[in-house]
Amino acid sequence: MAATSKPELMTQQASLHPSEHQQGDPLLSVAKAATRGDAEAAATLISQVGGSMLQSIRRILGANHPDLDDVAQEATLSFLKALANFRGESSVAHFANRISMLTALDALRRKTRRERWLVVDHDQTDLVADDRDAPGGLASTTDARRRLLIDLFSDLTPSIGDAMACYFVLGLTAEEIAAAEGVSQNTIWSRIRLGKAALRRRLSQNVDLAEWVRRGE
Amino acid sequence: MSRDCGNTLILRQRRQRLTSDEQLALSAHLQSCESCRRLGTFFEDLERAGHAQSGDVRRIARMTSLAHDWVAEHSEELGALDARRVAQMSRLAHDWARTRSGLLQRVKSELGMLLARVRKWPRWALAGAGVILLTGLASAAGWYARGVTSGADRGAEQALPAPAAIGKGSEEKPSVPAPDPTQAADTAASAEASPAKPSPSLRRAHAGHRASPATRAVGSEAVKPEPADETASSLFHDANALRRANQARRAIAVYQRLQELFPGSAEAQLSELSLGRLFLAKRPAAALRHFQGALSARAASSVHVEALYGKGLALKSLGRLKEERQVWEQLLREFPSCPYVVHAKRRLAE
Repeated sequence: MAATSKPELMTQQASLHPSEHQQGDPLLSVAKAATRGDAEAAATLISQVGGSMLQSIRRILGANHPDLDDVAQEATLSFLKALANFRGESSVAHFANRISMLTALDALRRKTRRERWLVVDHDQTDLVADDRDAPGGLASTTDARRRLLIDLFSDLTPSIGDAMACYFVLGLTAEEIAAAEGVSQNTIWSRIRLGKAALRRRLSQNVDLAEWVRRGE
Repeated sequence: MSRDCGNTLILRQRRQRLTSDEQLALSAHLQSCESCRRLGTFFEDLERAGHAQSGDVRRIARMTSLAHDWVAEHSEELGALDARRVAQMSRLAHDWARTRSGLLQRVKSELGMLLARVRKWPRWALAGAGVILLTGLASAAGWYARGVTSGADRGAEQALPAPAAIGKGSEEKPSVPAPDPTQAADTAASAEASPAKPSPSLRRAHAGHRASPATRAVGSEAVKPEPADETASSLFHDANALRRANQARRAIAVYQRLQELFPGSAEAQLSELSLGRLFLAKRPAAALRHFQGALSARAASSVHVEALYGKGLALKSLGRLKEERQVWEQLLREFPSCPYVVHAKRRLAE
């Protein structure tokens, strides 16, 4: 999915948690002012949601990814562009988180595609830079698990990958993802089911995580 | 991830939405469900990666500055976009008005032609037509008045000897809006005590499967001003939204409207469970009826475990301990890995 290049498409999918946030979202009026061209309102809005946007991006890219700043700025612009079509069906903060997550996922997909064409040695890429300084044992298992999951999101077809990312990264229920994407809950459940099946296959093939899988944790 | 698990407690825990009972249920569930255990581990891994870092203040400042500059640069464009949206809405309104006025023009011209033809008739024919028209109108009015009176009488007569129907119908038809959700059950109870109210089926018959005026008033005030736009899905959605917003009374009214307008629909069947939950605190007998309804509804099979749990709670509130015990035994037998197992076992042990 071309998340950053087509923010309007993301907007169509980015309404989260319907009914929870229609009333009393303190950022809604600020967001409306920003869409009318009020620069101060836009600055205020980003200062409020910036922290959670960074959190969503880090969950995808990793804690110390070198592209974090670039992706954060890209996500900021995507969010501002997408706000013009924001329907107010979720809280502004959740909308921002979803845009950020999709932007990060899109950046990861672009990078993966580029690497496939250039046949880059995976150990030399920036993608793993955040994991290099991690000490062994628990931390490395943790990172291996997260990497496996995120790689899966970017390798799956966009519809399944996005549904899985919403489920795992943002912790949304199938009902909420369905409402955001405008499809039925059953569709989302089957996407998540397919994604989980792919995850099981990868887990069974992953040597680093074999011990963790065997213990059944 | 050994197998898929439909339990959503782990997801809700991630968003800090569990009560202490649910937390207990989740702990018990995690001991037996490998899938949820691994899901929880993945969530923890992602949370750990997302933690704030020391340079975040600087990053957010840069993002803020970028947002400020970008919006300042594009303010005209954004304003134009806003204006375009307003223009689009105006165009839509204009098109609608034009269509409507076109229709009016057509009706007017047809009437004009009809009148022109009538004017050519001889006077005696006009007088005869007028007499026939007046007689017809008078007899129609008389027939309508008789029908309304006898219908109301029949409604009162038929409503009296059916206490069960009255109970169910009136509990679902609170007629006086009250903003306090805690008054929902009380208002419903007072409505139930009124024997003169016709049953829902009778009201449907009079209203031609539309809502009664009272219900419509509550429903329209609650959610939709245009009953013609209502669908089972929209009503269900609206009622759920009201329930989540703790507007129990209005939620009940909309669920009832859904059941009245779309009986047999999947949404109406699912609404039984929601009504059961809403009535559970103050009207366990009514709640029990709704949970029973949910258990017998085919479309609500996905929430049978919740309905069974609710039924157990309702029976407990009613003091029907033997039946409550049977429900917990059934729950343990049919849903051995559901989150309510801990509660069921505890009740059986007491």
